[in-house]
Amino acid sequence: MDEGGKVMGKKKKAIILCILIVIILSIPQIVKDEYYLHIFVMSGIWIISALSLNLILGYAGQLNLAQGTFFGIGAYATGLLMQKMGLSFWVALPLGCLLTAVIGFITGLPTLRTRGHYFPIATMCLGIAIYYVIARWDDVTGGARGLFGLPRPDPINLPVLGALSFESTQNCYYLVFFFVCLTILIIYRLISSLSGKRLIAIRGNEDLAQALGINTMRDKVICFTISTLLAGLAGGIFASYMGSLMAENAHFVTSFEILLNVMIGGVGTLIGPIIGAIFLPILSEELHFLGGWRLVVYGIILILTIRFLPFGIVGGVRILLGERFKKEG
Amino acid sequence: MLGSVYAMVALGLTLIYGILNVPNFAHGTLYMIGAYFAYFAIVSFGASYWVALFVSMALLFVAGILLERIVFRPFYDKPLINSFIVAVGLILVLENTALSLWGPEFRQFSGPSEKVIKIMGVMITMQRVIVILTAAVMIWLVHLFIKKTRLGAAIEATSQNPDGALLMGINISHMRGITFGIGTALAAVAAVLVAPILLIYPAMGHTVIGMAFVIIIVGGMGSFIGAVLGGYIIGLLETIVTSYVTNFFTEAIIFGLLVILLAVKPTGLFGKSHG
Amino acid sequence: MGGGILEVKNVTKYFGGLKAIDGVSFEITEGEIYSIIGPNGSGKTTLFNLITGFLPLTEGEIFFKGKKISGLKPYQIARLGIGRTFQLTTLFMQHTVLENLIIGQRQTRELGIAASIFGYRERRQKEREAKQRAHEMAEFIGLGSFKNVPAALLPHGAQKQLSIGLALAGDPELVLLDEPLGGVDMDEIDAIIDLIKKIREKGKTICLIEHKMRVVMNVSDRILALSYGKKLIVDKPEAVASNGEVIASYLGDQYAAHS
Repeated sequence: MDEGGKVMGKKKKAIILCILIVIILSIPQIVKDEYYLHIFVMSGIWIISALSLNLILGYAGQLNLAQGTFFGIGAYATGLLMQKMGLSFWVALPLGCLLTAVIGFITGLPTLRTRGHYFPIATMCLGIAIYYVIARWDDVTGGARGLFGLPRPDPINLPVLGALSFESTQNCYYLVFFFVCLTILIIYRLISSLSGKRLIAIRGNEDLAQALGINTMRDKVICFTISTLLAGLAGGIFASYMGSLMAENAHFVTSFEILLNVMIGGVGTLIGPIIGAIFLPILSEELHFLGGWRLVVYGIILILTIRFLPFGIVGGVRILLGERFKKEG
Repeated sequence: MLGSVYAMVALGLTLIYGILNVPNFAHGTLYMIGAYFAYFAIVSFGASYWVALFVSMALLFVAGILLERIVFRPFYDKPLINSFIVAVGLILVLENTALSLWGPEFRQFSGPSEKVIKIMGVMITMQRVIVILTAAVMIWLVHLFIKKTRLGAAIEATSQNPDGALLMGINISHMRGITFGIGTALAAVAAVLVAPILLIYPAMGHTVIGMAFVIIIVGGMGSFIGAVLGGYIIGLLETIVTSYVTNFFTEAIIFGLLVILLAVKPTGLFGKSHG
Repeated sequence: MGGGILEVKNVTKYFGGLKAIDGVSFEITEGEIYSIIGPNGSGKTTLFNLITGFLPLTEGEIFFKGKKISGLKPYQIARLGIGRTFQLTTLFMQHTVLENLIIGQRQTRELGIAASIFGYRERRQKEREAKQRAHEMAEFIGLGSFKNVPAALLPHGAQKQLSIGLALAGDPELVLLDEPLGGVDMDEIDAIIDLIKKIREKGKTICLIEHKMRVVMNVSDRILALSYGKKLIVDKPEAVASNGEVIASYLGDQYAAHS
């Protein structure tokens, strides 16, 4: 094949994938500790957020510093639709995603016209602005207090197995896993296609991409919209699972955490954000005894990572593997 | 009054951007540190207000130089995103160190004078007057420094044309460090000036940094005038909107205006088109 | 409107107070190799940027195949059939030769995002077509044995060949080459000249900016000489080479008397 540089053949990959899926599906049967199951569920939510940011950052090359804010919009939208309008999770979630995507589209249009330095700054400002709206709009969003008592998803009636309720963490684990797979599928389909190559071209050199006839603005906006939709998805799931929301969830601290997950895992790869979003929450739990210093450690890790391992864990692994492969010729 | 503060912070930020070509996201956090340094100078060491101001300014000047060398310098030839992320990391480190060391409670110290005076029929606290006057003086000093001294000229040269400056024998690394130091020091002064009026807390840099970026984008990144004028304008705008329209959506409105402006003129009003 | 494939009409460009292009008009005939020469700073690359939409015109109009293109965005102009290279070698450095060429294909830009995620047949078909055309292009430009080499690792001359390949990727009718021989070694020059001739044989029109005079004289049908943004002369190579003003613009007035 003309694709040299693939580490493993397709068949091998498929087998490994199947094994992984079986392992992941059986974890709740093995690990019964609520505490760990909860971490896994949260990891799943962070994985979706990290993948969403990676789409616009790692592939289209645009640093969106408001990803956490869109997460928050999705969370509040879904939460409010459930609480104030009595909609079921299964209706509120898609609507919440849609709303987030619409806001993403509207805000993407002006911000993506900028080049280079301005886009991150514009999104940072955007994130701050929307945060303040959420934090101050007491009537609607509960302001600083936030929302409480958000319901878990309604039980689904399965033909043979009966009603599948989501009161248990275990079943939420499966729910989140489903959405994680969905997200991975969408992103994989996009980036492995010719459209994905366009995005990478835009990241590489936007002028050159234009000279090749690529409508960079349109691709950036669509990519951004999908990215915010997925962030909203993560937020919506978060809202229902946690049952309560605070304005902090839309704060740029959330944006930073998502960014951390992506960068430390490995930006611009499919597995990178997944690894980062699993590794960091676990690290976060282990470091909890540090209290406030935990975030300081995060900051230092971030700086060191970007300095010495700009492609994160995945990058590091690839360097190790790559060198070995080069020797094999 | 707010405009003065914004103008100083924005000026510091734009100076740094002009010479480094990197927007220093951590500027707001350094501003916050400046306020805390002054606080401890006054509370723990019993310094007077003006001494504290000077100490804070000096400390942050040094901090700026160190940060440029240690944190930002390795990234000049790397993709831009990396510098952004480093700045984000810096925010995490500084802000949370402050939070852990000093707690989230609001603190305050008082200015040199508690007097209230009457100007043109309006009651105004002395502190506000001090803010306005000191800020104006500082801005004027920086302006003189850049335009009238050789060091200032060297800095201006480096920011406009690094290669040319290098050929002229200017040590651009030093220039970068000094400029960073000046920018940070300005932020410190701004923070100390405003601290007696607004409170001190670890997250106080947030709104300021947001506004500062709005200002330098509107005024043009790297433009001295743009930053100063923009600062006063935005300060005025914020005060008007908050007083007369609504308190709730002030930031949202201003940032929203920014986003619209960017859509129309991506390089700001006075800007050099960097990047 | 003349019969030329490209028509530049009274184009002026100001950068602030600086007049970079001053009332330049010319026409390029279909199928010819048309070169633009002039000392550094005379506005050659600026002209290319104006034609391809990377810079807005201050005054004047530009027509391509009779249709006005001044004011259009770069990607629109590219799609209409104009390909270009850049003065500084501009490639997707992290990608291989093949990947670079795939990006430039018509199929790559045509595939919609919805089709990418949900589609199946169109997705596969376009991918296959793009890959095949990329292979063919790699052979055409002489980089057949370098297909999997990352662009950053190519020798300089090969990089220039690749950028020409990119300019051709969308199958344009007019190809603008900005100093394709810039910094290229003696042994690599002939490869690129042959490539340029091959492109013309395919029926394409070429507009060339180049400093290597020997090449320009040999390869061009007509030459446009620029100086300080103004058009000095357009004529066959021999006439331009012996034109006093042109020589003066390069060498200074004292040499003009000796021409």
